[in-house]
Amino acid sequence: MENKLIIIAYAIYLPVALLLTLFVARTLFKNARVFMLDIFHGKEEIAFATNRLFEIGFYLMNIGFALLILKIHVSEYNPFETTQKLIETLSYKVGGFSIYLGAMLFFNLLLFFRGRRKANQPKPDGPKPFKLTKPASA
Amino acid sequence: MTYNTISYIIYTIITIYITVVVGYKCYKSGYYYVLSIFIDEEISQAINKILLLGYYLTNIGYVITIISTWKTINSFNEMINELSLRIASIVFILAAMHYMNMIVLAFWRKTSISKK
Repeated sequence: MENKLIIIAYAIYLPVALLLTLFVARTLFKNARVFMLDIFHGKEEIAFATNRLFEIGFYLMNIGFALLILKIHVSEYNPFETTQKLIETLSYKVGGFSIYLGAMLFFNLLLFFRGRRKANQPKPDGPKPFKLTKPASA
Repeated sequence: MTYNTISYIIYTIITIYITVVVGYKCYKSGYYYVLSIFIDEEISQAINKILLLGYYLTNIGYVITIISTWKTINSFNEMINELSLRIASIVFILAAMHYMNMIVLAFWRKTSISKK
């Protein structure tokens, strides 16, 4: 049995989730450049490369998650037949995805803070090179 | 259009408006707090923007998620009751989070000043 409402739900959910991810990632990594420059002490090449890599990871994780929770389960107890049901299901999916995105955003921010703290710490002295010294009284 | 659908639309518009306005005001005046902690202007602007975005995502996400738990509404009276209750609970949650944030910020600022 073909259910038209489900197709409509997917057609609304997919663009919303993908565009939301795109918008969040762009805003986050535009602002992350300052952090990266600070972490890598102004070396632009490696800072922007790292930023780009983080961005790709963010896209992969979030778009993957968005596609993973796409499926709407229909059974005889949950006939997917009214507009109200459509709104409720969509709200649950989009809202849940948005909360997940917020959590990921704060997680990335935490990573930046951590990197910045580590980079600004004074470097501990490395292991001293071994030197052969003559015993003083010989 | 059932009563439920109409009340979902009204609820979403009102709560999202409240969330966005509150967030923007906190963003404007919270900047000076962030600045006093991080000193550097560029970095505190970036942090402030990311915090605003995270606030919008989690709060609007929660507001929208809650829609799926409404019960069926049969009359106009019930609709008003349910709407006011739901909107009030969202506003209360926002207020509680706001006070918590202010306490955390004040505490953080005190420790960062005493460190210097």
